[in-house]
Amino acid sequence: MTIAVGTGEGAPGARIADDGVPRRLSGVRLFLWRAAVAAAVLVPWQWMSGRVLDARFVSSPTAVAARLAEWLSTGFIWPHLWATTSEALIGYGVGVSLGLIAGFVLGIFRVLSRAVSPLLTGLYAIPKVTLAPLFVLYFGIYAPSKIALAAVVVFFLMFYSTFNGVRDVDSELIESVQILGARTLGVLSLVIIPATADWIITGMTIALPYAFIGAVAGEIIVSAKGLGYIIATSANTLDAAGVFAALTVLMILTAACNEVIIRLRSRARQWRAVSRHVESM
Amino acid sequence: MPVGPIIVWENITKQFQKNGRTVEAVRGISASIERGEFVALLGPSGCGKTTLLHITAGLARATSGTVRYDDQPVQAINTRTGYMTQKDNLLPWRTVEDNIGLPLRIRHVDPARRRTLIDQYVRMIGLTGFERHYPAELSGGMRKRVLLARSLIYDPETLLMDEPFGALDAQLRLIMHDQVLRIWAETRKTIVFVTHDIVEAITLADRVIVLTSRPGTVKLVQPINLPRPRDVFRVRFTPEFSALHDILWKAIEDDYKTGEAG
Amino acid sequence: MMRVRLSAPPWYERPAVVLAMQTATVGVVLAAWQAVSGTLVPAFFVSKPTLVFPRVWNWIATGFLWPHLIYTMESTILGFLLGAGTGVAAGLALGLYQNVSRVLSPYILALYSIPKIALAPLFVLWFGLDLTPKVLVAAFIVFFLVCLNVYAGVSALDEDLLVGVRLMGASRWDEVRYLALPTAAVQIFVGLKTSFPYALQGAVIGEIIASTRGLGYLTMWAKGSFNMTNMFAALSVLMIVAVVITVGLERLERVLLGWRRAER
Repeated sequence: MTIAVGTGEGAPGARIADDGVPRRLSGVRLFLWRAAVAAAVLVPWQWMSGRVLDARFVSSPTAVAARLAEWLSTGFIWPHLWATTSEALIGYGVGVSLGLIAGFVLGIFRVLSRAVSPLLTGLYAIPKVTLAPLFVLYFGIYAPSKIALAAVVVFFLMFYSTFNGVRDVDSELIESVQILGARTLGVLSLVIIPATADWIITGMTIALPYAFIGAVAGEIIVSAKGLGYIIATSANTLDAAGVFAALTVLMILTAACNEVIIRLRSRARQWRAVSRHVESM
Repeated sequence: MPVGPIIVWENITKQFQKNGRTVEAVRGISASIERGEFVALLGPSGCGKTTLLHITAGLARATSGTVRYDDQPVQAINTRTGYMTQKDNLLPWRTVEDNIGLPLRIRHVDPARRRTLIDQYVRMIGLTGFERHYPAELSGGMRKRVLLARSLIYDPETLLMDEPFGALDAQLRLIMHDQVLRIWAETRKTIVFVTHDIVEAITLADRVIVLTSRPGTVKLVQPINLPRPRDVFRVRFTPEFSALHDILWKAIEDDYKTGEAG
Repeated sequence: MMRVRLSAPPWYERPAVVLAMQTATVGVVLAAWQAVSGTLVPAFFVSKPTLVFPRVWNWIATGFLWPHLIYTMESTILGFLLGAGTGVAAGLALGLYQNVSRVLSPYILALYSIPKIALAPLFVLWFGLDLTPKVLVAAFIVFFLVCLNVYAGVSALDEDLLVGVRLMGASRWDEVRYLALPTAAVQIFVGLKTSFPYALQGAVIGEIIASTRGLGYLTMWAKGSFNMTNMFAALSVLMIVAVVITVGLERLERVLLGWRRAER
């Protein structure tokens, strides 16, 4: 008698290519399930606000939506959105550039990297965002301190990606190219740069959300503009609607960013797969 | 004492979707396999032999037709068969003895009995001394032997083997043939052995079922009447073997000539 | 300059030389700091090593440091445990039930992208100034990191192995036990290891935003009184704690994941 071992809908086994058509939710059914989840969160929230829970602390979906509408119509949100985004992006640019340079220099000149490594470990270990008070003291309460914070966070991520990328370059590959007669510049262009390209791209894509983290964290701690500022001041004035509205805007902003990143990363992974394949041949 | 064939394929057809196109792996396969028989499925690569085994093991469903195991239709994973796949699927984080003993753990066999069986099978495959090694530390041939032990240890009635020795060097393959035949003679299991190698098929099997290239259909069913026990090292040099080889080669050469195969 | 394979390591890689270079580098940095302070840059702006180190020592000796250190570590560890526990469970569930993860994925991604720090004011609003908001911020950060790592680990289940195990008659629970968990174990550990420092970060950020105790609070206290010596002292303590944690985790990883080296 054959024993029926479950190949339930959710089991990993459901993916085993049977007819090549996996039994997975998709299309309309998937959408309905997702809508159901959203409703399961929003409806009780709306109901409980004002009844079971104090509305000042939790607000309600309708209040939050109304606040967002108000922000859009009065144009209140744009300067703040712009502030946060520009702080993050400028910090990103600075951090990426410095990280690339440092990564290459230390990756190529191994002597330097050995000497500096305990310092780097120490600096890297510090939760970067905790440098915020220091930066506020140095750069003031306006945009520059947030940019600096974002830059520092991004710098370390970029640096390590680039550094590891340079070190990761297969020394056999370098040697084989050297045997063919390539000198430093040749080795650099033929092997190192293409090989590190995917590490670098991965690093760049990982670092972008962190730029936003740095900027927003700085704003929450002290600032006069930006999404973090709105969150902090709304919380202080018991304005939960403001907090949630700002969080929603922030969520949309960063989710959009991450979507871009995911696309870029899968592109990068394809390159990496191809280049690894080429290397192994 | 149960009677009747242990495996019956009734008009098995299997289609699947690939890149939006329908591909037919096998079509209208009908055959049966008797208890205790050693049957070889012979055919060029890609002719659906693996698909047929998958269906028999319950890993895939036929698009049409039925497969019956011991007179019951196969509806889910068929745990009365052992399956030695082409690919090496030993758990890399467990030692040789843990891998071999895994089916017993799943079946909640008590540790003492497990230990006895593991030792027995380790000896049978000739890997004494390697029990505590990890798969990554073994050669391809040794890993295959571990797989063999693992497929046998829980004593399944039927053993499905999918080109298990393809990756081994020629001498090692002969040794494995010898081992498989010994084990088969001792245990009288039913064995369904997939191969593209005519010599292998004739050396091992009681009957050879020849399949065409995709879509796979039954081209020929050839009984192998060579006496047993067979000396795997010498049997291929006998005239009877040559005659059988000619017959089988004629059956599959067309597929190779039209370039469909391989 | 390029890595060349010699039978003996190059001169700059020999341990004694490396140690000497590293000590020298640190020494140079400290010396430069000391020299610059008071001459090129106002001393009160950057303080100096000769002030900062004694300050740290003083904090330790007078026992001033301990309540703050303990407070921070409490929220770090509690936050980590909370986040890791829920993260592992969630990651396993999502990895094993592919349909659930498909339904929830847009929501999870949206929540994941929010800087968790942005939730801190909300938690302070709800829970006040005590330990809870810090624990929650830390827990949230850890949860997402661990959950995603575990999910990735379980999803990377080798289907060939799965086929093999199922053919042996494994039940769903067997699949988890013999396949999913070991496969994910490495990722689980990596997730735990990488997220612990973030638990520290979450705790400290929580303290910076609203607290009367803790290492983060100390930095804010120093900022409020424009006392750079205290600021650098607090940051030094933070750095030491963070380094100890990082190094400890590295050691742990080498011990636990030693079997992987058999594969290399």
